[in-house]
Amino acid sequence: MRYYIFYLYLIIYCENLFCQINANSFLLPTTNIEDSKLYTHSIATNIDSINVSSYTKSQTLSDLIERNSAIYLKKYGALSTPTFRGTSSSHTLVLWNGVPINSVANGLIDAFNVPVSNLFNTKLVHGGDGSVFGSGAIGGSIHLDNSYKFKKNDNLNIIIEQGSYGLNSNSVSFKSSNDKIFISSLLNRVEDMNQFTYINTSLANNPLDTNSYGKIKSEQYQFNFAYKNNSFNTIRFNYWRTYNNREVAQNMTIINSDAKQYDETDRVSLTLFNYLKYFDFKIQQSYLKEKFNYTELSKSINSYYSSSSYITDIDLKKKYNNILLNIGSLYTNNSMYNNNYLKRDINENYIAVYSALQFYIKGFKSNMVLRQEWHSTFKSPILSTVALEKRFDNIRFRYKFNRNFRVPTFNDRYWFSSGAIGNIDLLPELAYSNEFGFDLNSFIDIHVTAYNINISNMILWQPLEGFVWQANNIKNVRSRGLETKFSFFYNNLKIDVNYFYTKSTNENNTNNYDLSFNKQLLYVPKHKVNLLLNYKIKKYNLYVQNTYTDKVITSYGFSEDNYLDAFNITDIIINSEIKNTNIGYTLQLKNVFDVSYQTYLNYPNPGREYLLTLNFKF
Amino acid sequence: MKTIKSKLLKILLITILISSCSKDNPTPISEGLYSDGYFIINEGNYGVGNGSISYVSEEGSVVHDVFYSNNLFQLGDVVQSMKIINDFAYIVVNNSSKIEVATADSILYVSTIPLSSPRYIAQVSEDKAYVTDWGINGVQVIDLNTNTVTSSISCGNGPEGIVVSNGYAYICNSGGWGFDNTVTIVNLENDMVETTLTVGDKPSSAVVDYNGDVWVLSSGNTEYDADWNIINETAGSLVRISNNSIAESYDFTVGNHPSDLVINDQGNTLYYSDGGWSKQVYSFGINQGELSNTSIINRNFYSIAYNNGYIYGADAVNFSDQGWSYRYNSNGVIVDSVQTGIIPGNYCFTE
Repeated sequence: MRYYIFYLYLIIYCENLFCQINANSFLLPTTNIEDSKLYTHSIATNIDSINVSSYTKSQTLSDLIERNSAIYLKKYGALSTPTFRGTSSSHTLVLWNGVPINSVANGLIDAFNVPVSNLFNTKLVHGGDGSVFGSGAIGGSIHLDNSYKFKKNDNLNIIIEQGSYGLNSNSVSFKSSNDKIFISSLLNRVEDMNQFTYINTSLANNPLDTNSYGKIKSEQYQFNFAYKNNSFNTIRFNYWRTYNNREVAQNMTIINSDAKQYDETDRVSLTLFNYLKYFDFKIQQSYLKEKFNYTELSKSINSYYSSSSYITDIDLKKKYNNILLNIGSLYTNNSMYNNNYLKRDINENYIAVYSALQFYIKGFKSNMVLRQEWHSTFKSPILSTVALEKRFDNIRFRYKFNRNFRVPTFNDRYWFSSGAIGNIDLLPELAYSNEFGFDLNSFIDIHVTAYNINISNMILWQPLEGFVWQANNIKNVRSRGLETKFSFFYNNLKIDVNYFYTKSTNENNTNNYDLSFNKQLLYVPKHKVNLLLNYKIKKYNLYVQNTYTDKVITSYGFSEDNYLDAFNITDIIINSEIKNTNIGYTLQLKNVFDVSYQTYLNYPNPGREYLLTLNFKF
Repeated sequence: MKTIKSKLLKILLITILISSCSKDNPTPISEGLYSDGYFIINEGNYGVGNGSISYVSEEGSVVHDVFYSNNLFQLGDVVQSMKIINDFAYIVVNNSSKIEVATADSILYVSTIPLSSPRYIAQVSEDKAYVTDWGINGVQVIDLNTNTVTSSISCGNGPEGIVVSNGYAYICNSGGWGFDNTVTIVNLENDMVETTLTVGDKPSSAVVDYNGDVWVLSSGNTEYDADWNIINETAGSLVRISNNSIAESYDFTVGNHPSDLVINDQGNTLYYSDGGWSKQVYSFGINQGELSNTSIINRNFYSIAYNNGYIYGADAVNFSDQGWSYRYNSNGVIVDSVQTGIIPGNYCFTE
């Protein structure tokens, strides 16, 4: 019980003081009654919470996390892929209400394709947790959870957002709840012409050019329902539909792109919570469906896939004095039709079983997790976690060891096109990670984490001698770094300073002429610094955010590597309410100093951008 | 995007090169920087737009990124090939859908010719050139005085290699994004298709011998079933076209996919790469009568070239970082090697 209060203390502390702004709390503010896997396994874990409502209202996960110092977001063409801790894009797992939603085809998450909303609680977990969340959670994970509360509350929100470059977004959401029932729903439409100007360095005299091909139309619909039968039973239903249609701009050297991408997802999840006398029981049945179509008709490219996944998740928890035992099992069925696979219909099942044991003794907490999965075409290693934390007064020390993995994706195994073939013999990538850190809560808050990740058997697509590309388990990578966060208050001013150091290197020669050996991996900045000021005066809330991203290597050379320049971006955000009304407004100035920068070679980013958001609350 | 520092460094390097050259053998200023060596055409990473041109001087020193450092803008995505025509460099940038025209001796930008998916260019008369273009499945006719497209001629699928002999242009229809097995022969007098010959499956390169006969190399085709079993495989072939009809034909071993046909300066010996997964370089005397069984260079190249008594082979290594180019004598004995840009795929010789 004492530890529960401790949690509660931190939760309240956190909610009141920290969650207004970006990504700095280390423990979960939870509004859910049931505890999610993330919550259960948060011991010694470095977690950030992002509150959507103080930032963008209606845009994508990409917008939401792009200034987060822990993440490097590669934005190119139709893709925006987040990476944590110097690992690759496929080492970030995204979960919606506990269900992994990374593409079954390529294992990636495209943050452009994930709309966010004020119904989500968004959390970033630094470091992998494969034994809890499964494949892909190596560098970190992003959690989008629909929260609910059984408390009398009704509200309706209409949000209108307009931005320079032709952004137009409207959303309607409502929440209605009492002590038995919770309902929330959202409808959101975004149209973005994306007509930003940039310096075109692929034309003579580097003229100012307009991104004329990049129109995006997207829609999302959410419906969430929870019903509390009695204090022992809760049932939860979540539905999320997204739709995206966009023109895909190529790199700036390609003027006439006719690439288009269309994505459609439907995600349904039904969860039953039973708080029984001897144990807590949860069963969650989810169904995910995805349709994807990429066309470039001038090149006869028409790439299509549709996938569906059925996931059954059973979780049992037993508390006994200072001990918590958690066992569970997942059954997943993934099926896919893909016109880039020779065998176009793929259907695979896998089973995962995990068990966890936690101890709580006098400020000390430990968590030990083991997980085993069974897949059809390859053998999976046993995954494990050992997490320890100890609190002395206002300082918490934590240590965590993980053995994580990433299974070869469908593309890795079944891809077939002229020039590239999959490899059915691939093994899972294996990662060992160690992290140690402390959290000090005083007049200044300090969070420091040092980590080391070794990834072996990393899957790399490489040309064979006949210049056909194939995926093989040939790369070893070591990533180590330091994550430091400071925050303190001075009257109405809150200051956050985050500094991230990442050294991520290639540890073996993948061929005789490998120029990458022992060098920093491509597109991993060594230094990232984030400065965030939040000043509150009367009804006004002012945020100034400054993000510095170090240079990144784009390709290796003999005498010197090629790289993208470092850049420093400043955003200013003001939000307040119109007097005597229920209308809130947010004015955002993104990239105030109109800095020209790239996060992926030859893909320009918008300069200064204005966004006005009006929020009508009823 | 390289930093200003590296740009400056490159300009500095070039300056040093100029000054050292002019000290050793004083030459008129009008003779530019790049008149005596050769160029290596580096495709760059597909979809990234970092194609480049490296210049190798007669002494063997390399300067990378000569287009960028002289013009301060990027060449583009998949730099496919380059030809020097009437003292101008025509640089074919496939995925950026254009040809950049620059002065040949100093690589200074002149103009841009917008195209669709251009591959190779060949001069067909004093003021006319043909560009093979997958995007239109034909050749684009370029007026060399105005550097504009004046018309186009339909060919087969994926027109690739092009050569000119005795008033005709021979265009290899490689299949492109589909399949083909023909050579389109165009009459240069009226820009009309004279005839279309069926050769082996997927012809991609051609050369002209000292008799004026055209040799066409086809790689052969492979079809798979749903379990990746090969259900049909055709042999690569080498054919000789004489007087616009096929005079002789040689078949390669089924399963091999020969590529990159080049010819020596005398026009009597052909060189090509052949093999299954891994290829080697073979030679073929035009009167030899049968294909060679033994290679002259036991090495797998992304592309080969022949000039002035030397065979050149480009190695793209991992296809993401800088590569290598090797030089051999005509017997296949290695002479030297130089570092290249990213994915060296072609050569352009100044003479």
